[in-house]
Amino acid sequence: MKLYEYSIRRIFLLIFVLLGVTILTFYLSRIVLNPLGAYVTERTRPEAIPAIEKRLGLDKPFYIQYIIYLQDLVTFNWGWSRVAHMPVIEALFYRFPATVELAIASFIIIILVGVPLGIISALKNNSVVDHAIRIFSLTGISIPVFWLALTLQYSFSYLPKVAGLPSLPSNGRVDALLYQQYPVNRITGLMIFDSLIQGNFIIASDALLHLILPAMTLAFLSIGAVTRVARSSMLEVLRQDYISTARAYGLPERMVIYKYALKNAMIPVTTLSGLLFGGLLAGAIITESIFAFPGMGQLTVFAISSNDSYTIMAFTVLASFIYVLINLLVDIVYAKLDPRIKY
Amino acid sequence: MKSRQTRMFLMDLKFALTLLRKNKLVVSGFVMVLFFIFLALFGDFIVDPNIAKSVDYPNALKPPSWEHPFGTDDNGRDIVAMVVLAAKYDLAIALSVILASIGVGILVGSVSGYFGGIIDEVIMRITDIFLAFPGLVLAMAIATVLGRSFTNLMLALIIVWWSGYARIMRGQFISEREKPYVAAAKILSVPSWRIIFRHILPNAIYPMLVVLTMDMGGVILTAAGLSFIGLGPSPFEPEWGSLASRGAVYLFQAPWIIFFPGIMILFACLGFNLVGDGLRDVLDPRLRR
Amino acid sequence: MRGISRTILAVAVIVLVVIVGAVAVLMQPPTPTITTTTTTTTATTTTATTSTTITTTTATTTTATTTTVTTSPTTTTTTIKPPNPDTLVQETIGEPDYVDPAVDYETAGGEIIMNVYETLMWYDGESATKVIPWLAESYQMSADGKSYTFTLRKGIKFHDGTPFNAKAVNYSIVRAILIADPNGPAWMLGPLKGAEELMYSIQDGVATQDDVAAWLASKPIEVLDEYTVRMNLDYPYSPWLSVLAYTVTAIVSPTYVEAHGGIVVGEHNEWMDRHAEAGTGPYILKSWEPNVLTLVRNDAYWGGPKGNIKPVLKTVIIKGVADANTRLLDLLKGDADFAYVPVTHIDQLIDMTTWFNEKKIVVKPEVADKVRVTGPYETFNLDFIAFNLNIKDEITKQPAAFQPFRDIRVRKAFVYAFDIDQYLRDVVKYFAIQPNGPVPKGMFGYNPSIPTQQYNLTKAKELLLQAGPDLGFSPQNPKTMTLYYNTGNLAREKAALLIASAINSLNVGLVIQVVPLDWPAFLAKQRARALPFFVLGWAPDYVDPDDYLIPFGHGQKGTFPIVIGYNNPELNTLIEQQAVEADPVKRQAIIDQIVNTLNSEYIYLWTAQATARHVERTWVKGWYYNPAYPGNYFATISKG
Repeated sequence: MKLYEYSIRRIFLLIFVLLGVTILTFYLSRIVLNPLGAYVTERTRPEAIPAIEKRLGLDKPFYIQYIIYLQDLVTFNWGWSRVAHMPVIEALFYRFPATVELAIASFIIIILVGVPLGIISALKNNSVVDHAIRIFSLTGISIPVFWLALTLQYSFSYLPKVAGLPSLPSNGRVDALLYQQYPVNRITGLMIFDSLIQGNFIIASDALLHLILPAMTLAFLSIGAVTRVARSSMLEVLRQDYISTARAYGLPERMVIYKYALKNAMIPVTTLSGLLFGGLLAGAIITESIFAFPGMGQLTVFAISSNDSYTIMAFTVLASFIYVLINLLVDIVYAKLDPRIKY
Repeated sequence: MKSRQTRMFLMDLKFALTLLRKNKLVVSGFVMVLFFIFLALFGDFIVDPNIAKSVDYPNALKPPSWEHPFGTDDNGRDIVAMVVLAAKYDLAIALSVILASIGVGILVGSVSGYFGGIIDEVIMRITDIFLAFPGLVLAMAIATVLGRSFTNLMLALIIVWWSGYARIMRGQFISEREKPYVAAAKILSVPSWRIIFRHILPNAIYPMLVVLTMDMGGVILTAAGLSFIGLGPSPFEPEWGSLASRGAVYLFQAPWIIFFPGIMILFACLGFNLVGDGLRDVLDPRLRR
Repeated sequence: MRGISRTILAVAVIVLVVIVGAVAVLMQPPTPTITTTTTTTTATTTTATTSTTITTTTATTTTATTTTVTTSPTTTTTTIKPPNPDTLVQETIGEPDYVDPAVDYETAGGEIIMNVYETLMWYDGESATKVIPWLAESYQMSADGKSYTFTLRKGIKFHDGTPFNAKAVNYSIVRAILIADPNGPAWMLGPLKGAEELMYSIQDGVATQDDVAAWLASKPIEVLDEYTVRMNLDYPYSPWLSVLAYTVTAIVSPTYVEAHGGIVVGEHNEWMDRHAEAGTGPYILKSWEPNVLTLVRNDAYWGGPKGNIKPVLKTVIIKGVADANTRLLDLLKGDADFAYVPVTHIDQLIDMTTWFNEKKIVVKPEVADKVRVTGPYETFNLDFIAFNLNIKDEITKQPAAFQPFRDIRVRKAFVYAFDIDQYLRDVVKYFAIQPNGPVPKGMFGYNPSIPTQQYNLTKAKELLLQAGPDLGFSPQNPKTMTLYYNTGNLAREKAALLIASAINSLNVGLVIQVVPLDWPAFLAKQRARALPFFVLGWAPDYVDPDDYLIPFGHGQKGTFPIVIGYNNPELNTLIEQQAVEADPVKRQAIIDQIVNTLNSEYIYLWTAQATARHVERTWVKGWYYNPAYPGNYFATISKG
């Protein structure tokens, strides 16, 4: 099978899966969770409830409700987000870029730290350095996110603030007062990017400062995975015949590693980092809520605790979409990179 | 025949143990895991379990001292005692979620992988839907409908967890079903279920041991995360994640609330991960030296 | 090779460290400039001078408590100058639901609305009971008490430049009624002629255009001329002027609303939900980003009824910061001028020993040059535990088999089992008092001679052991019950844990499980009558015992009696009697009888009536407390 045929088949399946996700979301939000809960308070008169149901379309049979739901979904009529106090689609415009910015920042740290660590680990296989790196990366995947986030917040923000030392901000995306004094026009929604192209370096650096702690938290959790994959694939490549051949030719070790081994060892890392980036986009829920970072994750936590079904549905659809899309991209890129793979 | 198999298995085991013993990291991982299991099994005998079911506000938020080496939480309970009492809840979560999920995974994956064709296609697409669906939202829906309790937290995690295993098991079955021993069994007209469970399954699950061990830690972490965003059980059912997350409010005055339970989670998970990592080295012949 | 791999690592680490370090050190936001004129010895004098003297005077006629705060002029030798004297930063919890006065029914939105919009009548400074004409110049009540005529002030302009007049008054109030949000405050306008009936039919989805037109034609509000307007009520309603001081009657610019969606019957105006920039008040909502609301000064403000209100602050930033630790640290650092500091964190700011012993707020010496804490201020918020006399199964909707609270001995035992002293001291840190019934202290109808409920674990055990055999539980054959509480409210959670822990420790065969629920799920269970007993709070809409006696006591109209299946016809009659009783002495006697009946039947366990405090930087001036305000009134506040 050719690559494009494979891609088309995958896209077809993608639609199927997304449809399945919408059915599941619909089932959860309309049938399992009672959507009325959000509109009826202790003050609502019982007689008014049928009218509320009618207004929300809850009096119609389920299949019609589902069709309406799908229509709304494709026309981007995603309803009113009670926790964001604005239409859901508008809330996404506000918050998704924040999540993207955070994901990019932590992704850079992951790659910058994780890949070199993995390579060093492989080159010094079974040495003390290797063991140290191994413990480091295993700690990363063993640490509770919220614990790491709060510990960082405590030691880099709270303690220095009490001691009167310079501290890192632990809350939000930008200092509200500074932002008030030096406003930035919204172009892409990525605050650092927007302020840089408008020449507003004060906001750019403030936004960067606000990114440090959450990005470090997110990065530490995933560095381990990258390091491990980089290490094992490097080890495997180093055992290949062509490397031995190169060595036998008497090429300098530096050249063997950086010119020949590294390139092939990076294929699995590319795949993994794609998946990681997808995960970062969809899954910074705890980190965002601890650092009060106004992204999708924080909104979702609010939505969950106040049963805001429209927001939850939007998050679900978006997160599933990202997941499926990234998986597809990764598979296609993987197939392109590794000529051995046939379909 | 049987005795020879057993002997070979014992030899394998001996070899594996030697390899593992040589690796100090794995040994330390084992120690951590054993300590965790010890706490879980005997916690109720070490500490009075009634502590977890009561509150004592005059003693709330006391800093570490000789009387309370790790301090007390916001409900006035000794954190050492709570951490010890919580171990059994965490072990129960980890074990039951992993066992139940792999059970479902085996069932779904084996049927899908062994039969292939349209059955495979339908089952795998349903699995895909569960994989793509954010686990948190699923867990939330369950917590909202059934209320927040320890059992419901477990149930939520199982529903989130099984789909990954189903997919891996399917892969294993596909590769195993092409092997000669399966063809031989088919020729001998051994019933399908027997081929699946007696012949393929032992071979297919062997490589899963690493994943399962490491996921024990993963389950504890996920449960802790769910507790943190408010989907955890009540303060009378102590689980390390919910113990620690109660400390977030008091981070400034009483950092010990979050610190010690968090360290326990870290060590238990690190233990499982070190053991799993060691197992991988043993099981993966390419990495054997 | 070894060298190179090390270099990679080193470079990566250095790059990170340099970025983090350099940015962190160089780009610190402006810090407060501290001018110290004397040395550390001033610390003690500072405390002495900034401590506040609180005098509580009870007004005789209105019988509501006004708390007057006299802050001695701070002659501190150590002065910290605010970095931004024109801007006030307030860090608090929660974000408004809406900023549209017609639909918003919570305090965060109320705070914005009271600064942007104004009402015909409003509170006079610190008084929660004295309502004076505000946008109105004067008013006249008809002899039968059924119609009010208002003469309006002239020359006031909305923020959009259009004039304030009688048409705007008519438009604004009609608008709230036509939106008729069932979860909003519009119900308060019910006494207006035909309004209640119309709102009900709008909410039930049966109102037609004709109904609306007919109602408008019936002239509930008459525009007599440009500056005179008359409101006609269905019946004499003495709190009407207080309703006109509530945000729901705030006057909005009709031109502006019409330009942004107008009025749609039974629907919110989504633009108005998020924008507040066409009122007459001292501030304008400039932007509402997630968790950050920015108000800017209305330079053309008319000055208030006495002409003395001249807003000083150019900008007010209201930040929603969920984490109490951050709020506290920002306040100490000077990044926040106002901060909401909950009971759990107040020990970082005030001397708890003095507070516990003398009930006097004294700021700790080490922060006294930065922070001022005033209070305690009485609130009318009441927390309680209610026992369900008719527990239902949530799914089958049938009464449950086990109904322990139908037995008064069980209710009594639970009341006895609650260690109220421990709760008040160690949980709410004395920022609450023990109520003696549904009528809060400081309100008309409160009688200090009514005894409070007592803690007595021995009696509780005795009663439960007695009741056990009749209800089918005993130490050998225990029964389990679930206590639900809503997550997020720590004080309520702790009240729940305290009573559950006490009952469990008695070993009488009743095992209480506690289950946290999200607020919507909690409400759904409450509606289904499926909560065996629950912890909840009640805050009033208007300052009158009626707003407590009905919800707590009336078996047919009361919020709580309905959900717990308590209906005492005698009590219902008494409650209806007190509402129409004009003689305060006679009314007091009836109220006492109602409270005593409720208490003797042990329907509720009264846990706390909260007291509030206010935390600000010492450089803030001009703040005052008014319990009737939903939030802070920024027009009188200045910095520096």
